[in-house]
Amino acid sequence: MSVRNRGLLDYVMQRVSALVLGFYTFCLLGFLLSHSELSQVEWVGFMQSMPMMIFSTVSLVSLCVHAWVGMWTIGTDYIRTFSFGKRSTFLRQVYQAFVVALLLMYLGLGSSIIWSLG
Amino acid sequence: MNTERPVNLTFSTIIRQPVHAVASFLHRVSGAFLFFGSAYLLFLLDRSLASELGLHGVRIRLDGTPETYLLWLILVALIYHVVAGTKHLLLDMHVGDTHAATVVSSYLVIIVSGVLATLAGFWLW
Repeated sequence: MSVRNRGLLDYVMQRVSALVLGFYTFCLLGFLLSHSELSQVEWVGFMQSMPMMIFSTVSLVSLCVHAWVGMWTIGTDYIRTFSFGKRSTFLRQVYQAFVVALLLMYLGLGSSIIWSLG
Repeated sequence: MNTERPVNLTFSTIIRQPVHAVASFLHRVSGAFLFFGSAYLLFLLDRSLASELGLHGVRIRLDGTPETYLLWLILVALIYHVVAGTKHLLLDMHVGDTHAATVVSSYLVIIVSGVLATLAGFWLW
């Protein structure tokens, strides 16, 4: 994808990841709502089934993509020359580095939680 | 950039916004909140899957404690973000994108989220 189509890529990725996260939320909440007296064996059994492990991993990646596009939008909307003057580019880069660092942490921790089950 | 452009700094007119703007802003705020809230959800997921004792610990943590409010707030943000997001995806497909329709759907998003947030509260407590 060329640099010119970055916006389109962000647009599509934000919506595809939104759909994945929406379905995952329904799936997890549905399971928890239908198992009020959930035992640990049942819970682990559900989460370590292969379809759920794959679904969880895809959702975790979707979370990172979705949060990145959203947080990027917030950053470029508010951290601008208009409010922060010449330092705005630097401040935005610091902000974006923080967002990426936290998301990479989620990705690492999340994958280890999911795949230590298998 | 034109630095001489007019700037509206009258607080009352900044705060008073049409319902679409409120609904849209809440979508953004709930998203930013979920960005941080995900850390807590991952923490609960880790504890609850780690061991029998871990899940028991999560149950104790969420038994009407201040932490229960934190989880409820995260769930409220999640509910709102999903409901408002559904509206957004429909708008992308040009479903209900007239002015009149968006006034109705914006109120609907807020009301539906409010009801679901209340139900989530009953579920947690």
